[in-house]
Amino acid sequence: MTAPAVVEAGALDLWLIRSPAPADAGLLDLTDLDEAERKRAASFIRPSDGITYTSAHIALRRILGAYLDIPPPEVAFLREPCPGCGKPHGRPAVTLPGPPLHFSLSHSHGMALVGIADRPVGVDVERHPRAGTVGVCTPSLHPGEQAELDALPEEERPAAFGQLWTRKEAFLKGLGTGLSRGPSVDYLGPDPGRRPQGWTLLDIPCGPRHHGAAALAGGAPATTRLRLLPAAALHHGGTAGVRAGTREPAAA
Amino acid sequence: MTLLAIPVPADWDLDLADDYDDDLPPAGATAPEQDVVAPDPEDLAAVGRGERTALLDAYVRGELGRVLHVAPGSIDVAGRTMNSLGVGSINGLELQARMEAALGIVIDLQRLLRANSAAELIDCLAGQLGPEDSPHKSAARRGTGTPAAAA
Repeated sequence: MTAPAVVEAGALDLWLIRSPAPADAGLLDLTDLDEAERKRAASFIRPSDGITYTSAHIALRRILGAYLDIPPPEVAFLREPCPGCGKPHGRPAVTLPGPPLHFSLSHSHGMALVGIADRPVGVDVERHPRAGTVGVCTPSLHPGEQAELDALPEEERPAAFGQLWTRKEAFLKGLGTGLSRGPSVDYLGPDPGRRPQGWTLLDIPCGPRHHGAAALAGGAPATTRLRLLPAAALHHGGTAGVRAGTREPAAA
Repeated sequence: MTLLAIPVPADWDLDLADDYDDDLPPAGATAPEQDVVAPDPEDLAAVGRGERTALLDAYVRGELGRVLHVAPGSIDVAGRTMNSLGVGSINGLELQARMEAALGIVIDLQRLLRANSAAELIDCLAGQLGPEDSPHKSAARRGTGTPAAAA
């Protein structure tokens, strides 16, 4: 048996997962998913949302299984207590004992992002927002963020909002509160002096249609690896490719 | 808080099939968004629970149809979670902002996103906007304390 890859001390591993074209969705191997995941995958009204969800969760199980050196179906999840209210809807976590392994998953319209670290981490990926949506949503942000967005030329606001929002949601997921902590509370704009202390933020390039970000508790990671999961890793027999990827040497 | 940027190898193909944007208007489309008329909160408070629920059902369908780009009448409000309908964090924030502005109440974003169905949201709105005492109602009015559950 190969030694567990368990994430290296201080490292941040990021995985991008690109969903297949709908015509190729039949190649996705659903056998690693549990009954609840399969039921949820079938519940989406838009087939493309179901494919995105399915791709993301196959990838998550295979990636975590590779780090933990267990078969993907045996990865068991729980919710940590919410730091706000103590109820079990905080950060998702794996149930197995062992060295700390924190993860975060996000998916949106064909793209998914997984973050793995030895300390709390949150990730978010979002499709570029529409201008009308940005106009309606901007007043819900932190006053400093609103002012900075309003000062931009109108055509630049959607991209700025999208990047800002992914930072905010990644931070709130890392914190464990999610959006139960209001989007107006924290400043995640360009001024480092106003951002929450004790976290490192990363803007993640996610292609021409999406924004992405990660938030890592503490200082900058010793190493950061961003990988694109091969399409075949989501197919039958694709687990080996994921395992090999987790054991590649880190590049700073 | 430090902000880092990560480069991406030039040979990565991160574009996707257009099917993943099938809920967006076609490129170049200039047709204005369909307007959604919200019921007057005073009118809602003046009618019975059944009529209030029906008015809010029509309104919430309209808002969902606008953000999801689907026909309001086609939305399964009873049998699917908000997430399964296609409501994510950004369009959920849009829904929250539009409904709060139109109805003059506070809606908890996290609860909206986690609602088991749109019907659950509609039922809670009917409770908040009615004349009768409701556990949601006193705190739900804008500026009167803790944001109330909306779902």
